[in-house]
Amino acid sequence: MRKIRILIAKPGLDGHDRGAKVLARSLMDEGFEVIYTGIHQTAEDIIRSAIEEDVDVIGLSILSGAHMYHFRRVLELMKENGLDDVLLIGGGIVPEDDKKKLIEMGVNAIFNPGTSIKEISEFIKNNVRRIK
Amino acid sequence: MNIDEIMSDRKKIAKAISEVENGNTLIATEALRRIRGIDVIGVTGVPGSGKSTLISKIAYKMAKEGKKIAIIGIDPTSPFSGGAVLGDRIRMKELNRFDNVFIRSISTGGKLGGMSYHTPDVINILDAAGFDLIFLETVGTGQDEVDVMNIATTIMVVLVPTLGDEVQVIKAGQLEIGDIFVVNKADQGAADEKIKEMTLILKERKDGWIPKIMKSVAVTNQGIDEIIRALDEHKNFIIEKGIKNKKIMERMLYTIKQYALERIENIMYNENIEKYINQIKDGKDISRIIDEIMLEMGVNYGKGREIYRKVEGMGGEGP
Repeated sequence: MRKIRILIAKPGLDGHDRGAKVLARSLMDEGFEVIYTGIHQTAEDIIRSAIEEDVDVIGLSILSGAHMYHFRRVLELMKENGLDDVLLIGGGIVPEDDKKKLIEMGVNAIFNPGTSIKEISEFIKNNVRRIK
Repeated sequence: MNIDEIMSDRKKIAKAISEVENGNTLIATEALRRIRGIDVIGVTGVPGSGKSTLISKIAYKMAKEGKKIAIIGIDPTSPFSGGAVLGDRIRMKELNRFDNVFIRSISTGGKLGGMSYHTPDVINILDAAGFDLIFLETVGTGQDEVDVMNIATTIMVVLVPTLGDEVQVIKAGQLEIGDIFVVNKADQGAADEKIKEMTLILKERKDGWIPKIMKSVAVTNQGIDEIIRALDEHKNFIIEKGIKNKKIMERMLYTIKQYALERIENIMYNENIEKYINQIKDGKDISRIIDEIMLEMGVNYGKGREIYRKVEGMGGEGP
């Protein structure tokens, strides 16, 4: 059976990708297929990759503080392209207030530093929308 | 989902690929029936030799001329978790500007040989979907992963300077299957030495093609035009010599062979492995289990047993 596929991307100018790489590797160890697209991705790049790779989850890593902008844009494009069955999650330095706003906007989960891989993995397995 | 619909957009092609990866044989066989026999350039070589970057640079130039290009990048599945990190796209960012390029990453699913069981199905879908050319990037390989020769119409083997000497070059395996050899990262180490070593084996093949060898530095676009010329030359060669049709036929047969192999693997392992382990634990004779497995695969093992008994010097009752 096909594995759950996760796109891990870093939008915008933020070049700190060690965390994203560690996460990609750890999610592989949890049995997921992780498509790692790296730094400096535009929202358009991310959506294109998500469509071509037919992923179940988009995970954005943002440490730059520009999370409100990037998530809003990715959500817009997800709607435009009919990616309703794809989960959008994020990780990085996101203040509590912003986290609430992002969840209201339609982001499915934000994981702050210190979150265990198990927690992320369980969240994905329990919330993934496509029936495998 | 029907194939005409699939061909019409990116999202549908992507979904169709997922379907065949998931074992949907209806879509797979429909695609197989509809293939047009387009060129498939298989790109293989050791991990980190620059396969993805080279493909990106070559595809960039071709896409700019308006060619519709599909790229399949394969990375390994973890033997422990079954997961994978698929990272070929990261080298191909510059292709995002083209609407006439489609990139998909797939995992080996644990199969040896450099590709997954469903790789031929994926290729057939892209062929049927109307692309002009497909690049198939195998996993980073060692010496023996030659399955790509069953699918590709042209094979490009990517080498790097400084790996091994002449003895490595004359051994069987990957270096026998290349139509074009590229010594990438030619700015590092002794690229000319490598080319000299390789000339030992660059003799005319059975089909009359003399393998080409060239240098490149993919990141700075050096040598890319020469590679494109060599690819074109080989493409024309196989058409002129009438070999191309044979290669397409081989791909079709290989596709069907993969169905059979996957079926066998499922019978042997995935579906029944726990059942067999439990039977062994319960004290069932292993040779009886083997007989049952062979029967399920349509092999009458009894005959083998008779032959075994007849062979002189083997003694005993056999297995």
